[in-house]
Amino acid sequence: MARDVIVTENLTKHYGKVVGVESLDLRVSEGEIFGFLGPNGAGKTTTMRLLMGLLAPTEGSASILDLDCWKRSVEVKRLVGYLPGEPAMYKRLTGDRLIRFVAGFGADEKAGFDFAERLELDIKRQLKEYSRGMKQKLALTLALMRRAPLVIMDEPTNGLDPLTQYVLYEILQEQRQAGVTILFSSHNLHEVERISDRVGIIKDGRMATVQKIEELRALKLRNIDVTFKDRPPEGLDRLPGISGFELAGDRVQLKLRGDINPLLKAIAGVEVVDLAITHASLEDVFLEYYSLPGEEHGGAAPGAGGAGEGGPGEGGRS
Amino acid sequence: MNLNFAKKVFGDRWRSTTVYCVAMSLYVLMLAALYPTVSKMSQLKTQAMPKNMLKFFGLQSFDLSTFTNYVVLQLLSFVWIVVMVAFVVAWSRAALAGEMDEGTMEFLLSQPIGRAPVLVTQSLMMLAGMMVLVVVTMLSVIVFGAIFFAHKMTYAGFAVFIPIGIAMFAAVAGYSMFFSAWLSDRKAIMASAGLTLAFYLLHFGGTYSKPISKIDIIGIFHYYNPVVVVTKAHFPVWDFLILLLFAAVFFVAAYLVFRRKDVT
Repeated sequence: MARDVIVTENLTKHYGKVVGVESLDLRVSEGEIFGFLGPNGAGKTTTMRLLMGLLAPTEGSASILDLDCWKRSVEVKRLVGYLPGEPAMYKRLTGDRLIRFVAGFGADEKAGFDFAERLELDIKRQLKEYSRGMKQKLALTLALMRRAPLVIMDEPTNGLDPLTQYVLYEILQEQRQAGVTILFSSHNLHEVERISDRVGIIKDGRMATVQKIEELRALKLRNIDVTFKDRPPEGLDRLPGISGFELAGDRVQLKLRGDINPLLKAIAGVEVVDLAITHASLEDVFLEYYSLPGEEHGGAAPGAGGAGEGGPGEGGRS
Repeated sequence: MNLNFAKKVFGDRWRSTTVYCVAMSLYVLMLAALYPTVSKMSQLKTQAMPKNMLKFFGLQSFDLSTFTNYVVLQLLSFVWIVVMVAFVVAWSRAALAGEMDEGTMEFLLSQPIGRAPVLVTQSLMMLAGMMVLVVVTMLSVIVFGAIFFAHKMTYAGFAVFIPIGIAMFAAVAGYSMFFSAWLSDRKAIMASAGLTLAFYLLHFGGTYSKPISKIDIIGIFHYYNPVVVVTKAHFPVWDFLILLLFAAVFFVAAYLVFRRKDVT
């Protein structure tokens, strides 16, 4: 059985009267990719900063490989490659100088130059000349070059073009195969689904649920927009998993949770002028998640088994 | 102290420190160039000054008949203080509050370096830069004085003054670093400059009022008397130690604040 790399117990952080995170219990196992989902201000970044010893917990504890993240932060940081959410680095330095600077703290300089090359980053320029995407590439390089057993990334694909995102996904898969544990946050559900083994959903500073990715897929939500040549077929709004049904002339907009095939069959005999299927935004998933019958806010999702997954408290709080 | 971080701080700061050094040297050169003209009017000037003003500058039995005395009055009693305070306050602000506000502190502290080494490295580098500026200024006075007014120069006083100048601005550095650890960027500057000005005004007020002069002992300018140190080549051991103690207390306070500070 894989050991736990990250363990938080009753982890709480208050900024005065504002709650950053509240009684957060989380376990991330060795070698897994754990996606951390939540809207802005939910507590993702605060949790990551607590893990990095950048914030002092108000209550509770966080540990990485059995080292307390606050009391033994220097040792912890030797074991972690960290990508902050808003990478702010020294603007006057060039990319290669910054790679050498981080290497001076024990990271692998050659790995840094290799990652930079793979991400097609121009490291000869000063950071003040970098675009948002270039800064993100450099920050990724600096996080990965530590060759640490744990990588923590706060929204790693922010500002990256699709090609570079693809390269990053490849790198993360390679890291996983090499036994590296990865904790990352994102607003992008599709991205989380693509690369994670498990997903934690955090809301208002509390862990709402932790699910395996297959379980999250069962909750799959799509926004569908169909324009028919003539009238839409009858009974679309009564198909399983349909919600938010809106009919305007020949155009139908709806949300679909779960299997898409019944809908495709229902419209198969009708001439379609346009069809757009988009993965639901995180907000849609949250709304869907919390509006499910019989569920309290913060309760476990249907079919998730989240309460039993991974460790204490992951099933959420009420 | 962390050597890797120290190299980075040096890379950031050597240019501005050099600019300060060159500017101070040029200012001393200008004083030397102007001194022959100024000295002719000096007697009139000192006689026209209010008695308490003379006392504030330590001028009761003081004249500007030598370049040494002129430097003490024109440089060490005012302009140099302003320049040194600006140098120290700007550096200490950037060291912690600046890094915090720009977000680079998160990047730095996500590397395997503790908060104590960050503070110690920044403080030692700042003190080293400040010492260089003090020594360069005094050397400029000695060199230009020797070139222009060799027969009227006394050198020992300036050599004795170096450790006093260092202790004085180490004290300023101490509370500036404390404010930098505690407050945000702009507030740190305002607090450091404001406290320095308050100490200066307290010392100034003390020359007019006996009650104020009694509380002047809590301010750093009470222990900074360049007239006595330079003209008499007298090393005030207690003043030196008190200034160092003042610096040490605030550096420790800065650490106590910084070690618990949230990096956001």
